[in-house]
Amino acid sequence: MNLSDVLKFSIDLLAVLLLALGIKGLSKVRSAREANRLAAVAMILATIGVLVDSYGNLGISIDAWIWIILGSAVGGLLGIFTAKKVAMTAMPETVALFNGCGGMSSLLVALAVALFPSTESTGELSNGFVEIISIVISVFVGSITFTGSIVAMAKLQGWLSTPGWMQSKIRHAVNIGFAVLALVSMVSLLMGGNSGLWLLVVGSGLLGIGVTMPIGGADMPVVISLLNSYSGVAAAAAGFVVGSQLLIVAGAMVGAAGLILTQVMCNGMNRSLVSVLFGGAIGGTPSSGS
Amino acid sequence: MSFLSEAFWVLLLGSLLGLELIGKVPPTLHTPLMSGANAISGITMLAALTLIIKAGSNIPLLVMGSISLGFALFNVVGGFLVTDRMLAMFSRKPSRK
Repeated sequence: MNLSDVLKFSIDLLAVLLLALGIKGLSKVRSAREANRLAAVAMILATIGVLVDSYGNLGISIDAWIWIILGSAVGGLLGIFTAKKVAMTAMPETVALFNGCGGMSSLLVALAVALFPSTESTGELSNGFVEIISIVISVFVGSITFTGSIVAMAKLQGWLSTPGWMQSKIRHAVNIGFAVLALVSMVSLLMGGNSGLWLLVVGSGLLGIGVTMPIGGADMPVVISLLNSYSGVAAAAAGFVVGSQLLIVAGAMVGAAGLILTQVMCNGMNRSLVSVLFGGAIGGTPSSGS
Repeated sequence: MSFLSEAFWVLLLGSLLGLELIGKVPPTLHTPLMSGANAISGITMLAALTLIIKAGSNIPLLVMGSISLGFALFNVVGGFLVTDRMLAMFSRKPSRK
């Protein structure tokens, strides 16, 4: 363990602690704003940690710097612009948009590692099987998160309305079809070869659309919270892919906390999660019928 | 193999921690908490960063990593700013506990 390893390790520990305190603080009115800033600081720390670690061990080439700066400038500036410009009334759809992009990022990371296996070279995951499984999970969940969030955003914005057949029972059959498609491609990926990769992307993407489309506007925040939990899972899976424990712990934390929040929101609306997910826009459950 | 077993412990303990972190959440904080947690889930930007740094001179990989980093940073930066905007609305009300 050289100096940069020690430094990276301490930074990671501190970042995880701050992230946990951030999520904790966000659930209380008095501490919420500071907690949000705390989490942002933790994020910056974690980034510095990765840069320090890479700088100490391999060095960072000029090429890498150019692409890092390019990507972060475009993403960061667009993020600032969107966050400043968006109307206060449009918050849930904004969160959905951000969330979808987080899912997309996990998806792209897993795709990149799957497409260029020679370059992953983390060496830590010598066990190829686990790596393939984590790539599959990351692609599957990331793709669902992306399309589901985009559909949720479009529906809340009023850009999309639910087509009639989506409100009938046929949609369950269609969604099961998409799920089977995704499952088949997963199995083919696990058997070896990359042939099922794009099929998995498309299948799980369609599944995300099909599951989110029939859900009514009033239930949408719950769905966005659930999708947020998924994006945490996708981040944890990406952590397995690139071999980063910080990613795994942060992703697992967000995934679990998002699940609890989803449950809390359901309770607040006097709905069960099952009825939100499968009840559809007009179906409703006996308990929620006015 | 040691990374793998450690990783599963980390996964397990992280999940348990997440389950315990939030108990009661007042309804006004549902959306900000969701938004804040969402910003944190943008931590995949670290994976994208690692990918770019280890890419060497592989141009397609660099481009993919860069796009991925852009998406993740959009999530993180936008997420924290939007959460802050939402929470700023609360603090203006004087001492509502």
